[in-house]
Amino acid sequence: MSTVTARGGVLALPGRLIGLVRDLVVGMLLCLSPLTSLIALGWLTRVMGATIARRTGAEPPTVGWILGPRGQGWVTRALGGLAANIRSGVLTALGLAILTLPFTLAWLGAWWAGWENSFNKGYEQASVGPLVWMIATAAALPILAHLPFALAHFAAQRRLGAFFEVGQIRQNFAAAGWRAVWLALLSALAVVPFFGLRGLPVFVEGIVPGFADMTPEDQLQVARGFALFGAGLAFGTMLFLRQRAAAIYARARLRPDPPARLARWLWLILAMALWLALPVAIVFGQFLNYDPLIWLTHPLILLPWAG
Amino acid sequence: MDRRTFNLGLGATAAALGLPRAATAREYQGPNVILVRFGGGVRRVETIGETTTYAPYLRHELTRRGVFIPDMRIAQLDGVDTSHAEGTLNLLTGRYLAYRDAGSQFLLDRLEPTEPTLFEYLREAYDIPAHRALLINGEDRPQEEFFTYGVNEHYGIAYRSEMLSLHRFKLYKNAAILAEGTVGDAALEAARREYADLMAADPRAITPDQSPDVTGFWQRWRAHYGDDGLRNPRGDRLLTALAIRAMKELQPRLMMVNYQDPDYVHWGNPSHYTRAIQVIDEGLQRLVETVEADPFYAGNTIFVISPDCGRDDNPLMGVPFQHHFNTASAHETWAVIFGPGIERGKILDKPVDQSAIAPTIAALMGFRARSAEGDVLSEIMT
Repeated sequence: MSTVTARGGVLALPGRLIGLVRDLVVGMLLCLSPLTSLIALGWLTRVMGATIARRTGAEPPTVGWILGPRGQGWVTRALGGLAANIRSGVLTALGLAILTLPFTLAWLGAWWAGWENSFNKGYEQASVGPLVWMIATAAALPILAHLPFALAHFAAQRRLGAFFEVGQIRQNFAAAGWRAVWLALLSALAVVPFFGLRGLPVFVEGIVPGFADMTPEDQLQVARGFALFGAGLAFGTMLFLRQRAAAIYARARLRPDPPARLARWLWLILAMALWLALPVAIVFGQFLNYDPLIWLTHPLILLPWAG
Repeated sequence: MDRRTFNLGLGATAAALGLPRAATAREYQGPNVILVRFGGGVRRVETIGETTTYAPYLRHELTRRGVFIPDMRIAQLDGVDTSHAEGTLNLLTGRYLAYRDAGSQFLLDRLEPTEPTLFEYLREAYDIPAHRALLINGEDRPQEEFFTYGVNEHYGIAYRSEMLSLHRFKLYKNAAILAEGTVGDAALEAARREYADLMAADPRAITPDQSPDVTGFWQRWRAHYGDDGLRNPRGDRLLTALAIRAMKELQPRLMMVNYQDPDYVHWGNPSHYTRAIQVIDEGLQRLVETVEADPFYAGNTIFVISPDCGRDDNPLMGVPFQHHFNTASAHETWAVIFGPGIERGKILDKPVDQSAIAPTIAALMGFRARSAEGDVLSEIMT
């Protein structure tokens, strides 16, 4: 497989289109399972890094799916891209997991314990589940608002520690101004199709005529179709959102003076309000089609895997 | 004429005429019937599957005692939905779509029967007081609190059943607290508010007072369990406790027990579904043992056990049976019927429509469910 650069204008338009289609197809296939989606996650982060580099005037690295850069030995050339994607994917997932698991695990526990208690009619502790969920969500919102900036900072720095450089991340968020809210709005909108994707299988007998009477093999084919659609949606949406995040982050880094304190708070509150769409959509998605893993990973916050 | 006006008129007529049907109705000599709704919504595989059942007493013991109908179906008709209130009314009226909306809200369906229920037919045909035609309802399905009578012109409130549920207990308890006036102002205000809320939940124009016998039942229940609701059995175990206590104290001739907790799987935890099936199975065993130990019921009681609806069987979902959204599998149920006058150890191995339950119970009790669409299952009778 060939490599492409993230630099615009290097390839002619047909070549770039072919490259985009290839990237979408490869990314979609990798997003079919949580494990292989790590590779896609790594590639997305590396592309983010290349975009930030290009927009900040640095030399963008070459980002390939499998092939590595030339001139560093044949092993690196043959598999360097894949190795870099895996390494980047693991580090990205690790950083994101450290930031998000505290509240996503609390969501999972709150849901399980809340309904377990409800099933057993534990009137005495009926408030525990909802209370834990609300506290976890309150803690999640500022993290979610800053998450694309933390990810972009990591993509630019290529150090795990970059995920946790809170001061720098907050500074970039503040410097982004209204664009941080725009990014939150795009993320909130992206929540909608993933929510729809959770509900789609529930109504399969209405969508696919004769589904109930199909053989298990034919039903499996339908299931594969749904999975492929979900993987394509996850990869395509993440490619778009991560590129937007990279562009906004790069612009923020070049901005010399951050906005006033009042404006920073306003943008933060608006971004947090928009990010509320994510936990709400996850909850309603679980009502429709339950999967405990979906509490822990959503394409917007961890793996580009739609479940 | 709207529903409330109609009901008010009917109630006023019944009151003015002093419920004359009691004077002409015959004394009931037939068998008692306990109709168990194995709700809310279960698949065949977890209930009647030979090796996959979570209800071993039902599958391995009760099916041998009478007639086992493994292929009962809810008809695929326009407008027929596979849900709890609908299924319950199908079982009680023997007719599909025998209900109308009585103020449904988002995620809270509220239906009322438009055709007579089994209770109304029974009480019209025989001299049986309301407290001996009983519905036992759970706390999570307040929608089914109000199936005690329908809005049919020739039946209705005069032939209603009584209801035993936490809703009814709270009505009694709050009325008693207010009448006693021995608690503080805050507690009185709380009782007044809860009583008003409970009354407001009833969409019908008339909420009949609970009969003196049922009031006595709640008086004894309150003396035993107190006011706080933390000492009585909970969930579907509460329904078993209510049914057993009712058999001892009220001796119902026809009683429907509306189990419901398998429906908890809507929220995604499969073990709630399987555990709830086990709880109902234990409840069935206690009901049967109570009947066998009680001279009034022993040898003279027919059990009819059937789900309100099936559940989805969706291989595309992590929990294939999370819902019952009118899928093919949600139309598939079953029934187990046993007792005097019923064949023993028989499997009725043919598709049977859910609307057959009501006219069959009617035939077993010696009256006719005139509006029922289903056939009487005469082949199950000895």
